Amino acid sequence: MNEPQVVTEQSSRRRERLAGLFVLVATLLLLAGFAYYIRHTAARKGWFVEKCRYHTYVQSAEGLNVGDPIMLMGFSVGEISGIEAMPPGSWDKVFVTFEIKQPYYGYIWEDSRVRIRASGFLGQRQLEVTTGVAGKPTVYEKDKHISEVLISGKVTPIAEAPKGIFIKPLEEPALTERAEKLVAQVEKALPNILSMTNGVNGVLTNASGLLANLNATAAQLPPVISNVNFITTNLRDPHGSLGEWLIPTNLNARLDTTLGSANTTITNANQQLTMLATSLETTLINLANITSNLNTQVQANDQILAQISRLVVDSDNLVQGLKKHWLLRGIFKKENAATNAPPAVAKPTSPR
Amino acid sequence: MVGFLGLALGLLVVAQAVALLRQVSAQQFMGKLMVTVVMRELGPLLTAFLLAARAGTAIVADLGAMQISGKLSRMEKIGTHTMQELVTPRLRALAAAAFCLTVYLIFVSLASGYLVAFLQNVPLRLDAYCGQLADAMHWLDFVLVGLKAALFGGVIAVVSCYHGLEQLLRIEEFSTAATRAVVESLAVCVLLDAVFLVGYLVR
Repeated sequence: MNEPQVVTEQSSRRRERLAGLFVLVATLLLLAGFAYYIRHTAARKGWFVEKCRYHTYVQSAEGLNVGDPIMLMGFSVGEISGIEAMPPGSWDKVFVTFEIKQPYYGYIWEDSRVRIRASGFLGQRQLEVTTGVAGKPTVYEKDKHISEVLISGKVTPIAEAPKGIFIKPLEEPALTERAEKLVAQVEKALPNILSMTNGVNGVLTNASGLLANLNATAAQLPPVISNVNFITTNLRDPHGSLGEWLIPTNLNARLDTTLGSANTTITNANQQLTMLATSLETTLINLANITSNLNTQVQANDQILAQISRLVVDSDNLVQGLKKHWLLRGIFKKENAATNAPPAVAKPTSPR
Repeated sequence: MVGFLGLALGLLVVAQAVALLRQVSAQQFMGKLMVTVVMRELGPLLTAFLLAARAGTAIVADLGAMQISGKLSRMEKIGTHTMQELVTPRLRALAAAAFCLTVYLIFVSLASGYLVAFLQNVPLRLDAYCGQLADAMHWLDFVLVGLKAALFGGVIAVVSCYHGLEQLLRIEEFSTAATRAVVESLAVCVLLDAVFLVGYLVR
């Protein structure tokens, strides 16, 4: 065997080894992927963990499938293991069994419920178990294996509960059912909507007629506008101002003359009124003087009257004195003569 | 080449998918999208395209050259069975190569997909991404992908060998024969892919 042949064989062997490695790595990659898939699926489906069977009854199996996940607190904790229709005449229509993985069944107590809720837009539904807050747990473990379960409030060995534990359902209609209801409501409301649309149609028709009338009116407007334009032009023109346009020229001239005369008259009246006011002021001043003098005189008269009064009193005193004078007493002998003097007060007479 | 194609495929698919899924806040479907698009469809098909272009043409040229040089007739004269000696090894080799290259391409695409998602700040951890991929897969996927890839390789080998051995080629006819071999191989691969699609749908 010569040297080139040896080299070729070695190269060929190396190439074969590389090819084998190439295939081996690819196969290992695929197997690793498959192993990861198996491991993940096992964890997801809980192949190697303890599971507890539960069951419930629903009115419709619509949107539910065997293998669908069961949700608890947002986690996928199990799956539906069976869906069966109940015999005709049964109050409950559909029997659904499902399995919950360890340790999630520990959250399910007596008061837990199975909520059947809409999921997705294609009519799917999903079972969601609510966590228990009161009562007893539904599952009891012994050595990490389920030993007893709670059936109708009694703790029963797991072997005596083949159907599993019953949980009350809270069934919501599927999204499609809700959509159907919505459509039914829409159908009910449709006549009103139609009448409303008819009304809207009538309003629109009226509006259309109105617009047509407005259009016709607008078509008639140009002459009016031209007249208005003419008027405003006249108004803007100094020679055709509003006064001359409204009042004819001759009338305007007469009005001007009349207004001039009125102006003169008013001026004269003003002058005369001024003079009158001046005279009136003089008169008033005189009157004030008169009243002042009168006041002075009245005050003087007041003193005169006081003096006259005193004179009268003094005269009376004089007369009374004269009456009592011995010389003149005889003349005034007449009793009860009326005098202005006040009646004499009877004085006690002294004994003579 | 397969690595580059896988990288490009992952980048393109995920970049487009992330942009689309973000609009509807559905990033959790990225794994499903990658499995459906890359693993089930584009991975095997792209590998087949690559093999047809690279190995199919080489087979046509090789067999054509053997015919021209008279090697083929000499082999027949000494009683060698051409089908066993020339076609069967190529068929096995291309089937194995297609299978391996498909696995590599899918692996690189899925990895580069996560890389793109990571670079685009998609809130997705690696374990969650792997979990999404595993959730989206089915055990049948592994079987069907391997089977499909091997079948594509076999088809390419058979069609290329046919065009190489069909008639005595002249030198100037090599390119035409190679082109025809590639086109027919791809057409048959696409048809087979459609058949597999039916298999996926009725699963």
